[in-house]
Amino acid sequence: MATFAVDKTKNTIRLTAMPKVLQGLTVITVLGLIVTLYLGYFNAGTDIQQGEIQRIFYIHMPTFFGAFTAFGATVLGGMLYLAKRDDKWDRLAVAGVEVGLALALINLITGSIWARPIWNTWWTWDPRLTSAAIMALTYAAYLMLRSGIDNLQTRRRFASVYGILAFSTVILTLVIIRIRPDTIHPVVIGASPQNAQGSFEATRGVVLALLPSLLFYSTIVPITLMWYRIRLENMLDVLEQKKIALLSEG
Amino acid sequence: MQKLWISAMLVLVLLVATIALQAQEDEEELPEIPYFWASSGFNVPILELEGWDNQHTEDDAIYVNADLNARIVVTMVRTLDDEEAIQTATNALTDSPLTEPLVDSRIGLATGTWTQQLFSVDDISISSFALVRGAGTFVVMLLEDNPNYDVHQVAVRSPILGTTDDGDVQTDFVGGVNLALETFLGEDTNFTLTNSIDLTALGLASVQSQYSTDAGDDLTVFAQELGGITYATITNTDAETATRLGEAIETVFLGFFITPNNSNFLYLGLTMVALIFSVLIGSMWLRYRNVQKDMALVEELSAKE
Repeated sequence: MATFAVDKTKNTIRLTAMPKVLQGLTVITVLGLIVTLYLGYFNAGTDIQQGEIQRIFYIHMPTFFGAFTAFGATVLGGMLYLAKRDDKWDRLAVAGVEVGLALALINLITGSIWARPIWNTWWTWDPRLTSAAIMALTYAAYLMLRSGIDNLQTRRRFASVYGILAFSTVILTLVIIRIRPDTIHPVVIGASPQNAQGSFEATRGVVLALLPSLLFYSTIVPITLMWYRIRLENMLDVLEQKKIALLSEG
Repeated sequence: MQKLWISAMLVLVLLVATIALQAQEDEEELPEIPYFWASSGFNVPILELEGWDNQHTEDDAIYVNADLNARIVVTMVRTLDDEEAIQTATNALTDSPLTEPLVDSRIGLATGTWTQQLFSVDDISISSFALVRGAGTFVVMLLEDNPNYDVHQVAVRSPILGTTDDGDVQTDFVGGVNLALETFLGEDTNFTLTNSIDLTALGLASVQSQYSTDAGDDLTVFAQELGGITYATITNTDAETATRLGEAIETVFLGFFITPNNSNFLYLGLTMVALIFSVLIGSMWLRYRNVQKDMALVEELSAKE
């Protein structure tokens, strides 16, 4: 995707070379992936109670915050599209959903894999797990419903409203472990009303692995991926414009 | 657009930093128990009791008390036969071959079902516990080689008295101590309690008792009960020695746990992460290629027009 990019004029698109910032972000993303993997899998010590599987936590939790960022971008894009009717905000919204959904799926699947040896089950209908699954399904439905509406303007309006409302599932997933005393999901940040099962001890090695991963997956990863996705959406719109132009010429 | 991204990134960094600082403030200060983690995957508390010297190697936990002529050793033997593991572990520590065990039984604990074997070889008293797990057998041993007395450690399930209204099981600690003595002496030897001091503290039932047997032996027992199991240190010397040895072996044995070997789940998790990222990036790449082809086709058609 090195030869096309961004629009400058409202509601019309021209394709340009890949911006240097995106090139830099791509390099940072690859380096960040290597560094966070090294910190989590070689530098941090093994959890003597949970064993090696605890290391999955250095991806599991940060990807949730990555999804939070991406879905937050969808809200921002949706609100600005509804306010300004500028298509670029709709492209931001759909990029946020696609990237956020991928990160949310990573969060769900890594959590399930962690739970198998620690809780002795792949899945349980715990409030946090259930709300996270609802969140992922809500955004999967966004993509399906979006592709089911043919009229462009209707699709964008509908998607904007849906994207804003869907964020309630993200908030619910975030706060549910603090308001439901019957969850067994570990509370890593801050106090919780219940005794979580399979908790984590924040030793120096854990903090040194977790904080960079948290910053990396909640900022660099979603922003880079969304940027690429926005560029793809730009191309799709350009193609659409060219098709319309060709048909009108014909 | 770029300014917006930079602002969003700054807000996120601030948010994460604030949450991390808050977490540090909320963290409770818990007492730290120093642990020894062996390369073979077991963990035991590092003995900080008076008189015990920590001489661990990479593979084995070894605590030595020169005053009491005692050693506590925890090791892992690469065999799935618990009796063979005890033999191997003992042979590595003593020159004397093992005879028939004084006690050979099994006891179910939270960590698994342990084989318990007690020996007296020459002047050496050996209490060994073996647990088969994974690719090997973990062995916890108390060896005491004072020629003037013997010390053995016995674990038995305390008799159950009944259940409370809340459903909690009530156990008979005194009955557990008697059962430990019966297990050690055999059913044919009778014993009488001559003195007993209750040392129960912090919810952990503890007792120091003296017994005389009909064979004319005087025995001292230091016993503790945890999780419905009575752990009794039985000796024919003074109560202080029994207590010091009993506290040491029980600290090590009760604090023992195995770090689970679940690397396969970690590899599965990492594979899934790689797969999902690959699907996302691959799908974007494929769509990009398709758009490029469509674009070329449209341009070709446009040129023909």
